[in-house]
Amino acid sequence: MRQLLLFILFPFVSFTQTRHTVSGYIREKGSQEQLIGVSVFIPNTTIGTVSNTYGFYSLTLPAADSVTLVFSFVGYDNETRTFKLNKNLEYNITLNPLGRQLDEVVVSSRREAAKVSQTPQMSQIDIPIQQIKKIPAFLGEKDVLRVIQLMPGVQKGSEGQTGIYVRGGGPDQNLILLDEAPVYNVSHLFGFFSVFNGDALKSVELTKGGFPARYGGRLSSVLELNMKEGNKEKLHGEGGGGLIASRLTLEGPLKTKNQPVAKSSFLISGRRTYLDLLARPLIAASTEGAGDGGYYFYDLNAKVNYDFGQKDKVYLSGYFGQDRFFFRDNSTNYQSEGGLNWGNATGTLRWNHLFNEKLFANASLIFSNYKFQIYAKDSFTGSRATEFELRYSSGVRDWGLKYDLDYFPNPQHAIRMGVSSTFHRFTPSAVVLKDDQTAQFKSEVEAIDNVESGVYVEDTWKPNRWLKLNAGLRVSHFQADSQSYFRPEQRISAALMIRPTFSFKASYARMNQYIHLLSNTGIGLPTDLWVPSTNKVAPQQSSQVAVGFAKDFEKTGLGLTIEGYYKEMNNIINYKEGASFLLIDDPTGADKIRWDENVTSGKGWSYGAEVLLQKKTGRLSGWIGYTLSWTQWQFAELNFGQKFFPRYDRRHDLSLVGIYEISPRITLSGTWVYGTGNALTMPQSRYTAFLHSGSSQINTNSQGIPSFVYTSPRFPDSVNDYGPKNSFRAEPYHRFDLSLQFHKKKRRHERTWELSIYNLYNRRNPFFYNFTTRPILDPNDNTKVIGNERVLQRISIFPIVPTLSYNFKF
Amino acid sequence: MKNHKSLIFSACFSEKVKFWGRLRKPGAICFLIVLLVGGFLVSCETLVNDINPDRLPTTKNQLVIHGYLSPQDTLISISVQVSEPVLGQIPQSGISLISVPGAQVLLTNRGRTIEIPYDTRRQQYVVNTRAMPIRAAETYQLKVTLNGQTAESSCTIPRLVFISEVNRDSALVANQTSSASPLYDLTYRLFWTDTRGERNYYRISGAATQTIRTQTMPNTFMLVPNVLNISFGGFNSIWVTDEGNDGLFMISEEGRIPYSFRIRPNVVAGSRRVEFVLLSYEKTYYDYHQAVQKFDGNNPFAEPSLVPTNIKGGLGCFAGYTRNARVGGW
Repeated sequence: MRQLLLFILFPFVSFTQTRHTVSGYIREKGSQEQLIGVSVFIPNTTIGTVSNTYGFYSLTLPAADSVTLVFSFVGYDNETRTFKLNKNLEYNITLNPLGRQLDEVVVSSRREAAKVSQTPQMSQIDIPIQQIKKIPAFLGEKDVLRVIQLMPGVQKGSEGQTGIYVRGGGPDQNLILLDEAPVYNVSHLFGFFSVFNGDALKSVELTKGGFPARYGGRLSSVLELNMKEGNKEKLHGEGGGGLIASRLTLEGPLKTKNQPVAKSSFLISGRRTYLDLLARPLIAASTEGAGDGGYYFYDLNAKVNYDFGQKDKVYLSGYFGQDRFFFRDNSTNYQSEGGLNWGNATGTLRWNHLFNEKLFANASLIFSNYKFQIYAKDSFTGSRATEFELRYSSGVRDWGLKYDLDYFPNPQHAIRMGVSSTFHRFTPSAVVLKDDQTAQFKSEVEAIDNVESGVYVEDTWKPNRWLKLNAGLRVSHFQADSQSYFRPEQRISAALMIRPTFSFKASYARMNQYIHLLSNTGIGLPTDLWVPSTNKVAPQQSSQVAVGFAKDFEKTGLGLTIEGYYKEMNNIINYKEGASFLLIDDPTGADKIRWDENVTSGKGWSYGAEVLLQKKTGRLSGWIGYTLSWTQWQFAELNFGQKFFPRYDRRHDLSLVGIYEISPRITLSGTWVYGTGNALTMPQSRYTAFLHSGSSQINTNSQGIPSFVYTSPRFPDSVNDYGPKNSFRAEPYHRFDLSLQFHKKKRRHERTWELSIYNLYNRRNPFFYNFTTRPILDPNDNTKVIGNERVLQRISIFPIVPTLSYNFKF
Repeated sequence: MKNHKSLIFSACFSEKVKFWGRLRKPGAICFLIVLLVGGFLVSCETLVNDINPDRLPTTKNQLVIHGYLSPQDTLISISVQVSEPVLGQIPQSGISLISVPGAQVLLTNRGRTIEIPYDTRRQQYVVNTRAMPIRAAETYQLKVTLNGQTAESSCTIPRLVFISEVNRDSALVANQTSSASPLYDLTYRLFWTDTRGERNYYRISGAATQTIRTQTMPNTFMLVPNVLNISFGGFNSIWVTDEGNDGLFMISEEGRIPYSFRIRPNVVAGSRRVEFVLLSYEKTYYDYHQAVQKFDGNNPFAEPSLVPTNIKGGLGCFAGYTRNARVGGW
């Protein structure tokens, strides 16, 4: 019993030996940007820690005359400090980024890559932003989600789409956090671009399994994006222009002349497409000024922070982005306008407080809003003046509070705990209708309010040299209508170090998801609807087990991970067969049918293996990722209750990514992807269905007198036989992209011309398949039609697409 | 298209000419250029391509059977067809037969089997129910053989459910122009009692008729029938299940004979008739009809709805139903 007590209290008991804490913030030299995930360790031992999301580290060690600490981070020079540890020390460290000077040849042996074998965390991928900027981009738009799609275990949807499918989960099962705020719709332009502007981001991290207890609320992945804080030293800018959009980022210190070091800094970043600006004069000209219309999207990121000293720091950050499609017609006595808008807004206010050198706290106030709107307005002027207006909108809005504590009692333990609560307001449909002619005015809002909460504790524990554990428990709660869901979520992951560079890892995670995305297209349209769990629709739940190996090859800087996973998902929801998003066909009909009567819930299974061989640094960097996986679904009301492969079940998925620094001025990069085709439902044959008429039939006698007759007449209707659902496989997807960047340092700035080519060998990848009927011509006489034939066509959307873009930095 | 891309291409490379000399591997760059130019040329081809039919699962032509048996019907009619491949030439014959001849159609009940012959006039396999009476709660097996292919199915006739009452009422029409003679619609509701302990499926419909005496020439009159389908909420008839109401007294939605139908002039006295029908049918019938009515094979993005079948070795539907009608004047 005593032993057990000691075991439990182990992190808190004080030892007879005097111990002191060395703690502080790790920042980038120059910009003073706080660095996340920097390894801090005593060389040739396993004693060490990692900096947290705010760049803070804390290490408690026995008193010694000489202690050496190494601070190591990918893409930065290692820093080594030796000091006497006879009291608590505050060590703020700055790391020097490598490759900043273009004149140097960027080959460095000093560069240390984070070792995949050293962390207990598995199924986690972080991608340096610098690498994202070097990978070929579609139409010159560097897109974080497209790079994430190149990782094993992550699949893309259809051609060109940015939606991500992680280990058999849908796009709604990804918790996408931008500075802690969830982003509900990550798509611009119907999914061809994501809302994340790489220039404003500091770090991107994806977790696919073995989730730490601090995360909750989605089944399949956590994608955490952190915005840059803003340079504290001097004003910096970054920007560029491609075929479809331009962007500009400015960051710099906010200080008075008397301050030697800025206590505050800002970042502001914007992006906008300009196809509409080019098209509008053409539309106006063709309609003699009466017509106007277009499409554009924009993003705006902003962040400001204030440093009150070592103990307190405050950050305020926000994102705002919209897609707008609109048309207007201003004829003499008729005006018409309409459009489609959707967009997200997020905001985060954070306060870091250091209680002491071992206890770090963060409090966050989080806001997120997603709104989709369709509107149409017609008005006639003159003698018959009438007006008609219809607005339909749907959306979700969150207000959240979060409080997290990081406690570093000793090098063996890093404890995190916290509590969070989010107030959701879902608006599946809000309709405003004004109609002069029928004297109708209607304004209906169907809002649903819910509260989602969670409390967690987790410990990263190193009991000995060979074992590292991260164990935690999260308890989540959701209030839906009259029902309260209260669920524990157990999480554990462990790494057993077999050799210093080779470890065996295993993890288990249980997740709950209380909100659902209803989509009947699966391609990420803005009409997809976020809805909460209700009395009828239970929360989604998953359990995932993963095991794997991680090996670092120190000489080459390669890291290899091999993982296998098995995931079970319960209560995943889908539209019933034939049910559709009514709101598009008839916005006024939206309020008549409740969404939860149109859905069916089911089970899902996903299992597979993933291999990632990655090199993050050096002249040649990149990765090879391969996934072998199976995903199956079973719904009582789909496919007659039989199991089937969902659309994005993908047997093989391979990505090759290479970045080669030909010289300091030229970077060549390429990606090649291959994926098994989507599972689709295709007709196998056609037949005529004779339906039984339910209504009375009437015969007329010779005198014209009608009478009812008792036969069972039948009405033919032509239908397709599809066989089992999704039994057709689309053709495999593959594509090669290439990019060539020319960097040059000018007197005041650095510029990059980039030529990128999407789909270099012009593969016709399927976007969808379509049946069409066309006439058969007489071979002897081309004008004579001898019959009709039905053919299956593949519709591709992107052939080879070269793009030239210009980027600058100062 | 081609010119546009070439412009981008040349703009990019004229800008970069001075760099070429410095490139470490000019060979690689030249290779790239060749690829690029080649790419531009081929990219001008169409993005819509025909797919080799071999990619679709091989389809064999399956037997398609339709038959709905009822104790209230005097005939047993079975339709036999063969499904067509999706791709390829579309058969030219303008009107397809309701049923193809040449099949052996066997119907079995309580160990007794009859063969249903092909009726060339009705273009179906038809036999009078005298040859095989259709009774409630009995099971009937169907076996169809055509060109070596066999399809089988069975159905069980549901119990007859009676309309216990038809409630007639009237409703004033909105926006009346004159208050002297108010206009009103006739409204109807049907009542019946659900059979307890089983899931039941119903369909309700109604029709009203009247004969109008129309003058076509001086002293020449013609009797013209005037027919109205009474809608109980759905287009032709409304589907009802007893989900959540097992064994209870059921009340239909409201059906209407609108005033516009009522006030037609020159109606032949005594010609106004109304009929209400309550059908009770099997689940297979319900599933099949629901799926076919929802069927939309034209949207490439939406998930298609699959049409179920209870025909083993084939497609279609073989099901039983009962029919209860109330006829009267209005």
